[in-house]
Amino acid sequence: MSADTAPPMRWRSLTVAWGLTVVWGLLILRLLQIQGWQREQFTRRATRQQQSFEIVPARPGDLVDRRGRLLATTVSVQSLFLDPQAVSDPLATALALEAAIGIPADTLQERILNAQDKRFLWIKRRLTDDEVNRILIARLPRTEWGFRSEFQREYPQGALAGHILGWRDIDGMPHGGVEESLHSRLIGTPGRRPIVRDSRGFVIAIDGEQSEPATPGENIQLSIDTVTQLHVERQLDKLMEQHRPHGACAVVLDPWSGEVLAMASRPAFNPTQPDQAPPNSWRNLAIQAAYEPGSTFKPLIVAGALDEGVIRNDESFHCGHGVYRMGPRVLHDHHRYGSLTVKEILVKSSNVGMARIGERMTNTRLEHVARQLGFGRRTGIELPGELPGTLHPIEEWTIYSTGSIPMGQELTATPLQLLAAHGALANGGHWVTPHLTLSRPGTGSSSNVLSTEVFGHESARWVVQEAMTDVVLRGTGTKARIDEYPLFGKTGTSQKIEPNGKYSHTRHVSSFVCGAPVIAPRVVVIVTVDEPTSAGSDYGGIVAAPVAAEIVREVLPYMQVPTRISDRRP
Amino acid sequence: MAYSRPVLASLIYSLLCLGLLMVYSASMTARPSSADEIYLSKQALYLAFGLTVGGGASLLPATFWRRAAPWIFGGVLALLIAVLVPGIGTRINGSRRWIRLGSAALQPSEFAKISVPLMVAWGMERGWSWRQEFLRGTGVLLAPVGVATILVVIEPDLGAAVFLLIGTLLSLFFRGWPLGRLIAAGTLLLPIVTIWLVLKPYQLRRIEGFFATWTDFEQAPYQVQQSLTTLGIGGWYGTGLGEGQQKLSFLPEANTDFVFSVVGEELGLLGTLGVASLWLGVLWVGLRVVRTLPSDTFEHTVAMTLICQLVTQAAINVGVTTAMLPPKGIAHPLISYGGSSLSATLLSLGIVFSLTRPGAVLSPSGPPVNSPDSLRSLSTGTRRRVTDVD
Repeated sequence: MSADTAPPMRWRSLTVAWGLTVVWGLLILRLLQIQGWQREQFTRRATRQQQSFEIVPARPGDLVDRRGRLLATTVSVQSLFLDPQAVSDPLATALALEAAIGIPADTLQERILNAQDKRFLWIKRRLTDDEVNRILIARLPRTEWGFRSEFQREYPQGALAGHILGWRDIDGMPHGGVEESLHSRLIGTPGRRPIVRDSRGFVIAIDGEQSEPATPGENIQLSIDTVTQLHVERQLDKLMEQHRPHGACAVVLDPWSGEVLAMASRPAFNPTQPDQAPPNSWRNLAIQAAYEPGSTFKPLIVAGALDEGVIRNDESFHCGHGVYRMGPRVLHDHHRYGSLTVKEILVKSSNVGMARIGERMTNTRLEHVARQLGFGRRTGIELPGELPGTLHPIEEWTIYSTGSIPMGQELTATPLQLLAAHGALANGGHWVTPHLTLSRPGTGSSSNVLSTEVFGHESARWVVQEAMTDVVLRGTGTKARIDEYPLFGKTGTSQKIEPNGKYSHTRHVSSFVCGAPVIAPRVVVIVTVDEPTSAGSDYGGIVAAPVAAEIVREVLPYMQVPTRISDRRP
Repeated sequence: MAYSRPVLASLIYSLLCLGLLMVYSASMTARPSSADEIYLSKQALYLAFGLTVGGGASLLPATFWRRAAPWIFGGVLALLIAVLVPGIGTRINGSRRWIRLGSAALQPSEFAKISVPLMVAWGMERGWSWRQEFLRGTGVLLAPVGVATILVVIEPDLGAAVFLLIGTLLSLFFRGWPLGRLIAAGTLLLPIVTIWLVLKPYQLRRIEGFFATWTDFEQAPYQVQQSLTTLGIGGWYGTGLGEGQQKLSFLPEANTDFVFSVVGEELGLLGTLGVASLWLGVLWVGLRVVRTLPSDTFEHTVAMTLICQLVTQAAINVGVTTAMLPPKGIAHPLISYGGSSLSATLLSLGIVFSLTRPGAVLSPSGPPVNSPDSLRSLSTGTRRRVTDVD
């Protein structure tokens, strides 16, 4: 017999036993490798697949007016969601919800069935308290649904100051106004909360130690005054009613600080019901429409010319009886004026007179004055979508410009730009950035508010107290005369440009810039009316001036500026 | 020496207790409910049943197994056929492996693992030996085993089929099957495996995917990634019993095939090396217990095979969870959840205790061969030679 036939031996058992021992030895080494040396790596992997971060939304800050009245705030509301996978009887759930929130059961059932493979389905967001109660009473199975707290933006003043505030959509995204421009300050920093989920998405733990709480958004105080704003908006509404223009806007500015006290534009929208807003109502005409300023531009050039010393305020210019030839061009006045003093040129708004001052100035100086006053660039107010207007580079200026610019043509400006420039006249020569936010205590200046000296004090004083005051007393702006306060102002009626590029003779933008009181003015106001269509005159002096005056008459007593009438009383 | 049997028993009880704990822990879900505890109660029930079956088996005389071996094999064969009959066998995930009996399910292939070594040892005892010509010797000996294996392959349950082959080879090896034939059989298997891989390309992909894991973790099959991650978290001391989070659903089959990973996560290296030590203990203490038997007997062959089979199964399971072996659904004996696996394991251990009971094996003449007396003779190097049909 060979070795094959030898009887079984112990070595066979021992061989297998030792073989298995070696195998287990290898397994032990492998375990040491996985659980000892590679532990970090696998732990990281596990953390990655288990941990996710839940964003804890930050509460956006409030907007308040200059006296602390609430303009925009944020409240927490409940929104209802379902876990479609957990819904055992879609019809029963749909019927229960129909009773609670009024969405038709068949619609709900279909939505639930369509989302059967999902774990989350919004049913209704932003529930009212009544709806929340009815849902709680409906006693749906607790695994099927839940409330999620959401922030909702509220505008306690309703439609007031809609163009300044803007609005937020259902996801909290800002649209227009300071909501958009100050979004980064308002929105705060969302926190995050690490949560551990299993592979089916169930939250199994929340790691409190690692969570970062949300930082609520900043509360911001605006320069506007709710009462002033209300007066302005009422006046605009009245104007819209009376003259049926395409649009109108008004701005009230503190000329010393550059703070906007009120700003309104028509047509308007309601931030609480943005879906019902007419399409043309989004535009804030005060900053998003640029017109040729026309005659309202004239006092600025006169002040500039006085400053430059090219004219004296007691000088007279011959106005060619209403016709004046400048190179190839013939200028016309409405009346055949002979010799006019500088003051009379403004009071009567003589185009020829302004052209003659323009000739003294020359293009270079004209351009310098316009640039210094901020034309052709954005004012920098904290609102999105501001237009810069147009002021052509000096190289493109021609002999025409010398006549056109002094009467407010060949350039366009937004009403706010024009008002800011007049603010410089009113405060004795300083152009101040118009702005909407008040400085935060302790941080000094809030936004980039610039103050630049553009006119000499005396030139500005003379234009305001002599010329522009007389415009209201006996010139084109007599409709703005009010008993309570002395006003200074300037009318403007600019021709709109027809599609063919020519000036229109029927379509105008009427405007009136004014300020009061004459000495140390507290406010400057602009009212601009785009194409008044009602019967009657559409001159700025007729349409816009009374509205601006009315605003002054309502606002100054509120600002506790003594009236002339009370002065006269012993 | 005298304490070997109680030591072996206590090692087994340790594994059982750990198993019960881990089944409970691994069955937890993210939203604990009474449903989680169903696994615990069922496993406890299976354990009670398994201990009864195993304990009963250990009380039977060793000669019972010698006599009953062909009947047991026949019974299991009948079950293996029955499971393939639609209406009797239950199809789960594309394989017919279970026979439903009320609320419990019987997995015949688990019991085939026991009956095959019994059958092989019995056949060799009968003299269906290698001395005779091939057909009448080897053919007759291996035909029943082949039939059982093929039935298991049809289910299909390839893991169990591999086990039947391992059991067969171990029995043959322990009973003194010539090495030359073992090598020949091994060479024969190679082309079969090759042809099978060509016919079932998805199995090939599975193996390829397995090799990819060694170089690129991201390529690894999901359950392998999760198993390694689960083990890795545990570190030295583990997250604590019941504290594991991977088991909550990232790790598939957490309470059955990958229960060892949960041990690793919750009890750390302490736990995994502990389990490894327990199995090495079962192997070597078992070997000591079996060594009391003459090495050329039916009893020795069956007991040795059953022990090595269990230790191998545990090693394969650990190999799969540690990505040393391609992913294959194999339960961890005594620890994984499952009635058939637990009962079959306890039954096979009961058989080991029955076969190795002192005085169980009688020599043709004289005192029992594994009586304390004969032990002394063993230690002095005396070796008995039992019947050889010549």
